[in-house]
Amino acid sequence: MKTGKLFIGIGLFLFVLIIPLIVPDPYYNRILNVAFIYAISVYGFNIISGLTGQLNFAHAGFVGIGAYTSAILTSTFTLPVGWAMLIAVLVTGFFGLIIGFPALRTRGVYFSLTTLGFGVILFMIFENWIDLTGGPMGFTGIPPVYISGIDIDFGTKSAFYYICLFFLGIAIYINRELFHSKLGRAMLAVHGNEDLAQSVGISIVKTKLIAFVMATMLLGLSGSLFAHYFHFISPTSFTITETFSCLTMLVVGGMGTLAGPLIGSVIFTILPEVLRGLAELQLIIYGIILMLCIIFMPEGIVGYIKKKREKA
Amino acid sequence: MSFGIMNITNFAHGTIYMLGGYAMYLFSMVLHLPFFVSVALAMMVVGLMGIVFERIVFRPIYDGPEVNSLLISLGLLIVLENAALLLWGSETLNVAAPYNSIQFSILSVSMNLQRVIILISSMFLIGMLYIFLNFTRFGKAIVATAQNPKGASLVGIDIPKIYMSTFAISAGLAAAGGALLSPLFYVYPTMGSMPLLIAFVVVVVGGMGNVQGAVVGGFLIGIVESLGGAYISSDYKNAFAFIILIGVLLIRPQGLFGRSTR
Amino acid sequence: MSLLVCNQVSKHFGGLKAVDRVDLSVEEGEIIGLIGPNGAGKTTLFNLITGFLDVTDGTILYEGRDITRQPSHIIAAHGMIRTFQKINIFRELSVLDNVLIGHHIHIKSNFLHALLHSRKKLREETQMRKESLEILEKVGLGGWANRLAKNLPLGLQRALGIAVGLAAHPKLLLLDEPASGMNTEETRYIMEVIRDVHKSGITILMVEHDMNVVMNLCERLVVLDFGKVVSRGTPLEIQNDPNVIEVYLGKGYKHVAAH
Repeated sequence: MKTGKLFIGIGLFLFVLIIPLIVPDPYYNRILNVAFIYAISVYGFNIISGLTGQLNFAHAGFVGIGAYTSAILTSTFTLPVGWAMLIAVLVTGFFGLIIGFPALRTRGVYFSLTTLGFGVILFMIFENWIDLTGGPMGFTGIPPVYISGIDIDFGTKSAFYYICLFFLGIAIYINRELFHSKLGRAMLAVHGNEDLAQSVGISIVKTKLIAFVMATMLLGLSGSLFAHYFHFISPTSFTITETFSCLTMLVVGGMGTLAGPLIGSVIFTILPEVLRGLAELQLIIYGIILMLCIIFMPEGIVGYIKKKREKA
Repeated sequence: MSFGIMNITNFAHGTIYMLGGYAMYLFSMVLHLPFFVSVALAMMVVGLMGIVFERIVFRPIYDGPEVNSLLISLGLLIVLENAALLLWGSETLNVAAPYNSIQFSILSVSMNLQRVIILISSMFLIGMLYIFLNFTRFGKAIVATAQNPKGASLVGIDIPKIYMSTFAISAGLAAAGGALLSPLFYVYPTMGSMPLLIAFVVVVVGGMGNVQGAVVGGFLIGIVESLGGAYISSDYKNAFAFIILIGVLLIRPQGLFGRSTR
Repeated sequence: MSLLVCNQVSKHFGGLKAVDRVDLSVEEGEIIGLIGPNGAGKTTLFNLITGFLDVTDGTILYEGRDITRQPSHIIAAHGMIRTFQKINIFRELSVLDNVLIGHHIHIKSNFLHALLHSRKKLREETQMRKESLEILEKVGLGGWANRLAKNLPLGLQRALGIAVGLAAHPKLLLLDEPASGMNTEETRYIMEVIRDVHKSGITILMVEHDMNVVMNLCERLVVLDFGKVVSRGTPLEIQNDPNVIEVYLGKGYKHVAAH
């Protein structure tokens, strides 16, 4: 049984590796790249909500911090992209710390609203601090990713695929190891029953904060990739609507699961393409899917499959 | 009403407000009905729609985790907003303000009758709500259900009917907001976004399930926003409401008037 | 040195004195019962001792250390573990996962170790699982390891609550009404579990209403009424103490007199 799973895993892995070679059409590449970039952020979302049960509505704001930091460092200060990305991740995590510390004193809906507030404030900073961020006009001319010294231009779409894949792999690995670790279990405990968790020595504040910082670091990574992929960012990419999209991806895919965020991201990146003909109805269909999902499959696609398997 | 008393997070509240605005447009501009009649009709029509929403959208998820109501109302928001966009287009619509031309001044502050009417109407509606909740039998049943649904049903209160009515009231009031403010702020599909956020801020700051709190919160935020916008920075005007929200939640996580839930 | 000492501990809620200048000491290895009518302040005292509620006045010493103002998770880390009056478990997790979480304090490897798949972490993980299964056996949940906690019958849910507490390696275990809501069969069962736990060297302080449990298990009793200590002594002494009989006038009287 275990070896069977291992073979499937390796097979999938190899398949995923060679996709750009079998399907050279940049159109499909682009879809996957975008899906992966979103997926990374959704894995971040997963840590915060799937494991600790809180919904971070400043999601897009943090992605924005990562994006703008990376953009500013590479354009204005001409730092090499690799360093910029690393710093962007740390900076976003830092903001996660200072915003998380006050925000996490609230819980449930209040936490959602507090983070919503922070998200709005971040958005306004992106829009209005024109000297730093370029305001509503956006930030242009962001350099593509290239590894200095090796002089390979990863700017082409299929090459970028491997970069996204690499970081996606990291995001998935972190999520996976979390499930079976002391920290991950502590997060589940905090989610499940705070009093009981405290009574066995788990510090609620510390656990939530660590989860928050970890999540925001992944968000920063996603933002940074976003910036270098599209070479242009503007505040409209980091609005509440974007947070809603990622939330939908997480919910439909399955909160708290390992495959959920990826599946959700892929579905909702492919869906707009498939529905291109029905442009106006697109969002309405999203909304309906979300509502139906909550009513019939609140644990998401992956969660639902898991549940069915357990019953069997 | 829906947030504090029914304990559901209804992100679609803003879109209901928007429906109120559009209803107002329909009644006053298309059908040329008088101002106050239009407002009243808008409230009733949207209130009825609220009942439909409650039954179809929110009823299935009462038993689940609270986060579900948030998510499903999000879905509703997306559907309603984009349906409005689709059906009625994105241009802003104008609703006539029949009392706009009358100006007068009190204590060297000049005021516009239209705005005063909005103020008085709001206070009237709030007053009616307060009386309803505290002094009528049905209103008290609603408050009782909020505090203890099981206990309420044990003494014979019809819970589904209560929830339906509470939500209808919630929708009707949102519609009133949309209708009353439409002459000032125009009518367009996303007009509900900011009011939604502000509404949440108000309820949280004022404390949940508490009409007085909501009133105080509302005034507080309105004043701070206006003053802040005028004297500090108009770009960040909307941020002030949130700064207050964050500030209050940090110091008193249960709001200014709320009961402690720990 | 006593394991736990409460010195003039008080808790006031506005004008209401929920706990009023309580002195209490627990020696290592003892099994002590805290009894009193409903509303006497027993659970409040528990909450004060374990850091779930802030003390208005007085001090609490554990192993000589002042823990009066310490937060609950730190107190738990010192080895004082409590259970709850209402059944507290991680409902959406499996029985085994519940107990695994209880080990939290004693896990030395952190997330970095997990990421690197270090041998230390894997070893600890295996050890933890083995121990958890042993604990489950001890409380009678041996065959239920993979079931979802919320699907357990109520009596077993309470046993699970105790199992989670045991996984934290308590030195002092505070049981809040462990027999609450149980029938005779289940009560007898829980008593056995508690007796075993005590025999393994864990000091126990328990709040309980069921006189049968209290009289049979506890070496010493402390009686609380209106937040004040009304009497202390062995079960025999307490049975015959007129103060106590007065406090329990009616219900407890008949029960006690039957012995």
